[in-house]
Amino acid sequence: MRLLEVNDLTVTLNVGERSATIVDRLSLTLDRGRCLGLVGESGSGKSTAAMAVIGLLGHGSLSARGSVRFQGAELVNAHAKTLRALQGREIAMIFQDPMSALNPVQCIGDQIVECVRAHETLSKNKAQALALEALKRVGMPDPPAMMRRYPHQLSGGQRQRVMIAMAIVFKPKLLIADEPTTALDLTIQAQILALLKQLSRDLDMAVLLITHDLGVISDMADDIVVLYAGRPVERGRTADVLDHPGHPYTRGLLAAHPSIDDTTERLTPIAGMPPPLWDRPPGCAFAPRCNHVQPTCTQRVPDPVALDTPDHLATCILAGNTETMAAVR
Amino acid sequence: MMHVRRPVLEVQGLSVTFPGEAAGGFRKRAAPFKALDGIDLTLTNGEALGLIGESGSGKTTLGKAIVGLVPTSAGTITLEAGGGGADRRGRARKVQMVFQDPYASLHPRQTIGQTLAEPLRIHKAVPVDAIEHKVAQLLERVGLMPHHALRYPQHFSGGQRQRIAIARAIAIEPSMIIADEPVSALDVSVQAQILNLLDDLRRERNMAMLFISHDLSVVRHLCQRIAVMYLGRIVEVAPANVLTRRPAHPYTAALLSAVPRVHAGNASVRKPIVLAGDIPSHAAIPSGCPFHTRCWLYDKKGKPAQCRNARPPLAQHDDGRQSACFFPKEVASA
Repeated sequence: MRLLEVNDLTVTLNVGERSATIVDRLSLTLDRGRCLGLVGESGSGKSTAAMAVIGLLGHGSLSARGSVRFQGAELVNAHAKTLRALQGREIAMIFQDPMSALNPVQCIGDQIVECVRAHETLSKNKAQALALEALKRVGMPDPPAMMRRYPHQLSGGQRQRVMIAMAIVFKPKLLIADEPTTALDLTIQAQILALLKQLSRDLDMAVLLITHDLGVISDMADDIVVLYAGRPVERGRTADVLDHPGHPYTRGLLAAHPSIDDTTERLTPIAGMPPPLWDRPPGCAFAPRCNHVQPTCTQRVPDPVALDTPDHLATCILAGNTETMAAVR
Repeated sequence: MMHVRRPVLEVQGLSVTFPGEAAGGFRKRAAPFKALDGIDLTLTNGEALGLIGESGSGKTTLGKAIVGLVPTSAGTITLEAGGGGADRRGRARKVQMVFQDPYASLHPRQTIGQTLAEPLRIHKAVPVDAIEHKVAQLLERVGLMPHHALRYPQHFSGGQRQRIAIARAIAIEPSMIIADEPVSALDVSVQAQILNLLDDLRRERNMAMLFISHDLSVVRHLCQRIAVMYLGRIVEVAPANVLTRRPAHPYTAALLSAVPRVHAGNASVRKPIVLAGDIPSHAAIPSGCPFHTRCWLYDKKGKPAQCRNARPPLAQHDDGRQSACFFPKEVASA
């Protein structure tokens, strides 16, 4: 049984009469100890997909269809009680900005203890012991002193460590990390990424990593799903996707990404910009920006096609057709 | 076309001191701290210099000091002689700035045309009846349409807004542009468009560009020289390809190794240097070399007293680079 199996997950935003598809038929699988990277630019639906996985879409204007199975149990439209038992315990989440996720007027120790006791009936002492253990595990210097500090007394990196400590108190099987290092400096980012890797190994924890940074993905993820305008355009093993990208969007992203080791001076941008949420083009959403657009591209959404390996899929009519692919390259 | 290289900007011994923050109780203030400490920097026309550093390194403060947005406490900033006086307006004539957040740097209730006409009018750069034509030209130059002049910032995406901010900066044809993290709020696919636009403008106008960024890869692509800052000081300056291949300061080496690389293949060859701890606060800058508290080379060399006691000067090396480390040769060999 897979730890996490997502099939055709679709999330729609309904406002009055209008509705927009934020996530469109996303499928992925994730096993314990592995890291899956969800890559996409702003508005690609990567964060919304993660919220749907952890069951945090709520009962507002967002609604999910399709299937999210966690250890075999269906989470889409599951009972609030079922979700509550998993959230924070089996599935935990960390966010980009730890400052807005922490209470500024409560000390770190109390916040973690409160979070622990919200999930389990424990004495204060026991909860405190768990909090201390978690802070130690994330490599906080002097954990007992940290327990008494307030968020504003910590650096950005330390705050993110506190968030991670809070998330791993119960040794979750799945950690969803939404742009966990985007707000951090380079040297601190390196520390946090190393920590996430180590925790994943020590706790045999799966990590669903959401990021826009191809470098971070390359460093962390075993597998990748590339999202564009809510749709998965390519998925596969990290090395396969980055070394032999099959979708023109993935290729475009890689060409536009400045690399430190590359000596070419000119970057190759992707023309135009992603389509607005309410006005997605018919057919392939990338067609208006694609250099290799064919007449059929604007008529229907292409199906995923297997490339070099059966697990490496791209949703492009040119993918898989070796002759046209060669011409495109 | 060959151009004679002449200095556009010369910064010597520049320091900026900020008053301390309120420290509990009325009128109590923490000791003032030095945001910039003894900065020397030159920039010639047509040259792009990348200024790299983490939060609190002083890179933004340096940019602001050059345009005159923060008061300096010591040192001199010399902008090339030419049009304009020594006052703020004269300085603005020579150096213009592009800011990070294109959502905050454009007036929401002015049309794009009004925004672009303003510097032309203030500096009397073109006759009044030619302003409209010049605005249209500027818009076309940055990849927008003349009719966009009638629209408001809210009608544009982040990338388009940054194009408008760039058009505003080049409107009065300054000899230098300071771009402070101009692409860090943009998505990768759009970021490359803006970087190429800045590069084209620098070349065709032979402008100097100070490009402030935390992203080494971006700077590597755009700039001929790179300066690395740490705690208000420059720790290394070198041609971009030299600095990224053979760093001569342990901090630069650590930054380079922390850059996440896209292809797993070459990342696995390198062993990343993960620096311990956080950047110290300005209130408690370490003695001697300010980097020694986090320095891997200091640890590797058995914590030499020299690093704790003396501040290494930004010394000139034979290959044209400068670095502020007592053991520059051992950085590359590590």
